[in-house]
Parts: sequence; C-alpha cells; structure tokens
Amino acid sequence: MVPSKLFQNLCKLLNLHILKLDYCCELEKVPDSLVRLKALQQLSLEDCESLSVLAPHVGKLSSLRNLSTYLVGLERGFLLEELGPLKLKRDVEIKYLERVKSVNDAKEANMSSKQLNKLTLTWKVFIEREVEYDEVLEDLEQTWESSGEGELDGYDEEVLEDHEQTWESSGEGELEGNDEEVLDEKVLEALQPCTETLQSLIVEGYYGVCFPEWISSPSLRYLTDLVLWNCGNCVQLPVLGKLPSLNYLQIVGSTWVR
Amino acid sequence: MGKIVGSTWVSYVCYDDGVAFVALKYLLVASLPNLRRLSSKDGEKQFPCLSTLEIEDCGKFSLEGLQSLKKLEMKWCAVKVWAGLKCLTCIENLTIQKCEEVEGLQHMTALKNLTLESLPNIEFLLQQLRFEDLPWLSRLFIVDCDKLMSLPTSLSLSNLENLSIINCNPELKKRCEKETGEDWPRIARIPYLRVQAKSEY
Repeated sequence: MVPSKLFQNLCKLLNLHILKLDYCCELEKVPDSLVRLKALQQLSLEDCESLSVLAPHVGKLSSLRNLSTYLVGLERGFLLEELGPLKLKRDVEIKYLERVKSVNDAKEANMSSKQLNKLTLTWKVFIEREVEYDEVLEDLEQTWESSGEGELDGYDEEVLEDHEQTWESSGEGELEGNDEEVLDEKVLEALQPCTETLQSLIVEGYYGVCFPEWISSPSLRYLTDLVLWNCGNCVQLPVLGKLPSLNYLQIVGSTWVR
Repeated sequence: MGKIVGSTWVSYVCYDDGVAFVALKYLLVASLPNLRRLSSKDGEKQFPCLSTLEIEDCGKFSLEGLQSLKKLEMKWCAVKVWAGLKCLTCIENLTIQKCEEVEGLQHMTALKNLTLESLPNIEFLLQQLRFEDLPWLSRLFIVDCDKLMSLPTSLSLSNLENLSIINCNPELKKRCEKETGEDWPRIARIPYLRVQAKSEY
C-alpha cells in the first residue's frame, strides 16, 4: 500500500514526467489531485488489480502520452470521454467498458486519433455485470446517506438519479441481455483506433453478437497479434483470414460460434 | 477479383482470392464447441505458415490443411478430430490431454516430443505406435494414465532419451522395476527414466 501522505505530496511534484505504479496490487485509489500533474507524460498502472477507479479528469493531463491503463468510471470526470483530448501512443488497456452507458461517450474518446501499438479492451464478463451494478448502487446510496442533507461528496445528484433510473428501467436490477449486446456492439464500433499503427489487439468480455468490420479490415496491415477472450455472446467471428500480418491468434470462449 | 491485368494490383488481388491467414504462425482455439473452421469459404486454402496449434474443447474444429504444423496441443477433444491427424505428418511436438478414443498417432513420423495425459485408451494407443518408425522421438511423457498396465514391446526399438511416466498405476511401476520388472528389458537402455506411481505423489 502506498501511504496516503506520500501520495498527497506526490501531487505537489508539478514537474513530474513519469509515474509508475505497476504491480501495486493493493493500491485501491490514486489521489484525486493527480490532475495537477500537468507535466506528466507517462502514467503506468500495470497489474494494479485492486484499483477500480482512476482519478477524475484524466483528460486534463495535457502532456500525457503513455497511459498503460484507463479505468472507465460511471460519473462525469471518470467517463471514457476523458480519453478524448489525450494524444496517447504505444499501449493502452481500457478496463470496465461495461460502465460505458452511451455510444457518444465512446465516440468522445476519439480513439481513431491515437497512434497506438497495442490496445486492450476489457468488459466484465456478462454474468458478472449484475453484481457490479449492485455494488455500485450500494456505494452510491451509502455515500448519499452518510453525506447527510443530500449533499453528495464527489458525486452529483443527477448522476445518482441516472443510476437509479437505469436500475429501475432494467427491472429489479437485472440486466436486459439485448440492451447490453447492442450497446457493446456500438461501443466497440466506436473504439476503432488508428489502423496504421496497431500491432496488437485484445478484446475481452465483449457481449456483442458480431464484431465491427474494422477488426477484420485489411487496413490493419501491421496487426500481428489478436486475442478474443470470452466474447460469450458472439455468433459470428470476424473474417480474420485477410489480415495480412496476423501472426498470433487466440480465440477463447465463444460457445455459439460455428 | 483477379481480372485486373498489367497493374501492381494483380499480385495483391490474386493473393486476396487465394489463401487465408497467410502469416499466421500461432493459433489457440478454446471453448468453441461449435466452431468448424476459421476461414469463411469452404475449400479455401488457409494457414500456410501455421506452426503451433493449441486446441481445447473444440470438438468440431477441422484439422484439414494444417500440413505445416510442427507443434500441436489438444485437450478435451471429441472423437471427430482424430481423422484429421493423418495429414499432420510434420508434427514434432504433440501433447494430448483428457481426450477419448485417440487414434492416428502412427502417421506422425516426425515426432520428437510426445506427451499423453489422462487418456482412457492409452494402452491401445501405445500398441498402435510402432516405435521403430518414430526415429526422432526422444521424449515421451505419460501422465495420469492409470489404465496403463504394461509397456509395448516395440519400446525397446525406440531412440528415446527420456521416458517419464508420472502418476501411473502401481502395477506398472512394479513391471518397470530395474532388472526384476517384466517390462524392464523394454526400457533398460533409455538414458533418463522416471516411473512414478500415483500413491507416491
């Protein structure tokens, strides 16, 4: 565990260029004031398994070029759109894509402008998503209660209402499979990165029935590695035979694919 | 496609019509019980460079046209796939785990390393293998096959460097005992020998 005091002071290092917190397995939170590090060029959070939320407004880290991991959140400031203004290069993993609630949010991430070599897109496997909803709602309600007079700390009221609506409209907290598959398809479609630089793509836990065309486009001419893990609702695989440089392929856990 | 003549396109267009997965060297397919083939068109040539295939719980996947394969690992595969093994004559490294009614290994004459794990028909399988026809086979691992009660006679004609039998039936262990065991003459000249019965684990 990184002591919180160290963290507070860390965010005073306004000229800090590189912050690597890889393999901090018990790290649960990064400081909210991370956004003050305007000179930060590299933020590395590989294998920080306990981390489920990032600092808010990562999009304001205008010097950031290398971000190993982006954790999508549910509130404004933590959404996928934060990636939009960032001129990212090299490798990025985007986790918790099931938290994306609108296609526009995915579009705002502006992935096609990013010259990435390796892109990892991870959704929570569908059967685990319900649990996630329960936990998030519980957290939000607790925050609501503990903050007294309706004044939310870190969340705004609108967001809480939104979540309650999502919760209610989906009926007793159960997710509608159809909505999820359509949303996942649209989100993945919108996350097309710059095809000219991509060498490695990993898609995990995607619940769409089909894959968007860009995944099998021969314009991915440098794509050597492709991994499709636990895309459990998929019926048809993308036509991968025409990817000219594809060297390494893993397809796991798509029961319905023929 | 393929009709444009006299332009730099031609080669690309022809190749586009011809072979699928031109550069693929490694393929893992797992938990795809209904998958038949990756290529979209029947009869299309595919996988000209594929050297490693790992396949797990894909009972319908066709092994046809994988002549270039050097390494194959199979787990939980159904009866149907075994016919496809006949054409895989270049395989050097083969691992088969938890599969039923395996057959067709005798065609793999280039084998160097063979691992057989949790196979109910292990005895039949080893009888089928003619070790004198597997001149390159140097390492044989047999793991968790407690139905194996004796070793085949042709084992004495093998060029094995390493024979490891792990978690085997205690009866087999007895038969392999140095000098006194019944199967000892079949394995006596193998340089590295390890026979371990299940209870010793």
